[in-house]
Amino acid sequence: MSAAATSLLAIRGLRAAYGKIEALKGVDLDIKPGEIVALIGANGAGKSTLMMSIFGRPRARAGHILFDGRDITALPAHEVARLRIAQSPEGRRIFPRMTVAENLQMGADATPGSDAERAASLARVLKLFPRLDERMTQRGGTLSGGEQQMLAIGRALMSRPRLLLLDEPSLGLAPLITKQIFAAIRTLNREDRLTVLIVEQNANHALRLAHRGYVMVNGLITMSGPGLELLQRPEIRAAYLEGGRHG
Amino acid sequence: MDYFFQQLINGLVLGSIYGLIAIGYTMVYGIVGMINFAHGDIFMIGGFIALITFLILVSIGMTMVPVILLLVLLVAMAVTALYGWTVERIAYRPLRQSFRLAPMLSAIGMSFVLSNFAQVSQGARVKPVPPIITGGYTLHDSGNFAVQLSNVQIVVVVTTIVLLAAFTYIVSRTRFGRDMRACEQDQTMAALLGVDVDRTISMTFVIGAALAAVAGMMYLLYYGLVDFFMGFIAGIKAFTAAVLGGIGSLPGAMLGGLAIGLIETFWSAYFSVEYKDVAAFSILIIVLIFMPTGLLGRPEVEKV
Repeated sequence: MSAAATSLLAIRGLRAAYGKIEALKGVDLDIKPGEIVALIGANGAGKSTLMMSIFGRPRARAGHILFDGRDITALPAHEVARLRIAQSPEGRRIFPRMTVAENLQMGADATPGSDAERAASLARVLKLFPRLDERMTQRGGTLSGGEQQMLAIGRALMSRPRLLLLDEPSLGLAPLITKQIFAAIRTLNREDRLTVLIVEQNANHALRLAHRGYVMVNGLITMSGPGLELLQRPEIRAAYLEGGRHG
Repeated sequence: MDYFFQQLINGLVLGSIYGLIAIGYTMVYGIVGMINFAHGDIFMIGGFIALITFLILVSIGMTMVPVILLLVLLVAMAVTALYGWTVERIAYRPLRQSFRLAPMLSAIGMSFVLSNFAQVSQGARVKPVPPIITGGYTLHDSGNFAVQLSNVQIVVVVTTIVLLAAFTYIVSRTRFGRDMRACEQDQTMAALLGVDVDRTISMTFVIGAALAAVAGMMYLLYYGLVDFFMGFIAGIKAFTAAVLGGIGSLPGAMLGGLAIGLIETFWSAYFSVEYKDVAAFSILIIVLIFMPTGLLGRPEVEKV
């Protein structure tokens, strides 16, 4: 348990299922404070399920999730969010009929904070993604894919998270936008010491960004190690880079 | 022309009452995607609570009409809201993960439960009250026809406008309103952002029931009677109003309510009272043929 004691997030033997289909078959994963951890794997490997199961959706059938040493396995989703775990989920899930400003406000409302703190996070988000500043009064549903992704990350940042979960932030985006978003994540990690778990199919980008990486296959972690080291391994190159999508 | 204006006034008053009930249908549909068939009976309960409160206040010797009305309004809203909360809690929430029709069937059951409860506990006969708000103004008198605006009509319309303003403010400007809209658009995401979805849904039922209670009280003041069955037809009309305006749309519910109230009144005035419901429902059918999402409804397809 010594690893769990120093981890911000520790997942132990996590099993979760949708009905009879077991999506997670005993997953162990650690994220230390200040780390960027990448979780890579093919479509349907269980990456998004793992991310959502931190919020109890689906609820774990076995195993534990510890956040800052506290067992949050059975906590309802909204209480997990209030512990300052923020997620930019698969498909972005922007509120389409709310303005950009309201979407960001929803993020701020997730956790308590003074007006000054909220203003500071808003300024931070708009500095990272100046595009959002021009779109404040526009409805979320009218934004482009890249802008929606920025908004989803911005919304998550508004809760001043201790742990940021990013699900496929590069999916469907132009390379230039992807680059901007990854640069923003790196800045947040360096300047604000933000801890990040990033799920990606774009293994090349994610492993270059991350301190450490995990590889997931069919609901199990099959490999883990420092990002650049994983990137050198031939089996990773074969499975996720060569012949696959390039970043 | 005078006759026309008189009917316009009458139609707007009736429409206000329908609109207040319709908001409850549309809110609940927006957030949980079900038609709350018990909502008309919640309106009926509101009327009875208003009547009972009124009788109690008078029997303990209160005489100041404005104070009585205000107290009746507050008590009716509070008690009826409790009914709304309870109905959601015992009849809908346990079925939320069930198949889509289950809560709807449960709602029909709750509708019977509430109306039978009122019948058994209050009796089946119509309960009349003497006019509480009397007097009014003659706006125009052409000799053979006088356009009247009664004080009770003024009270109904002013109360509706004030409540709608407050309600619109809550939905568009407050944190609770934002949480409500978030749940309506994406419940999972709302939960990921710390919104207690169950609580927000409960509060939606509470607000819908409180507005229905106001409608029930206005009905009592305007028509001077309540009975255990009044929720059925008023509920159907208000539901029609919500669909006509575009179910899920709050301004649509009010617009639909006014439209149904006006159609019904004008049809009764110029054609036949017997066929007023046929007229209202025919307009609904015609509008839905050409605008399937209602007057202010949004199309199902969203750019995401």
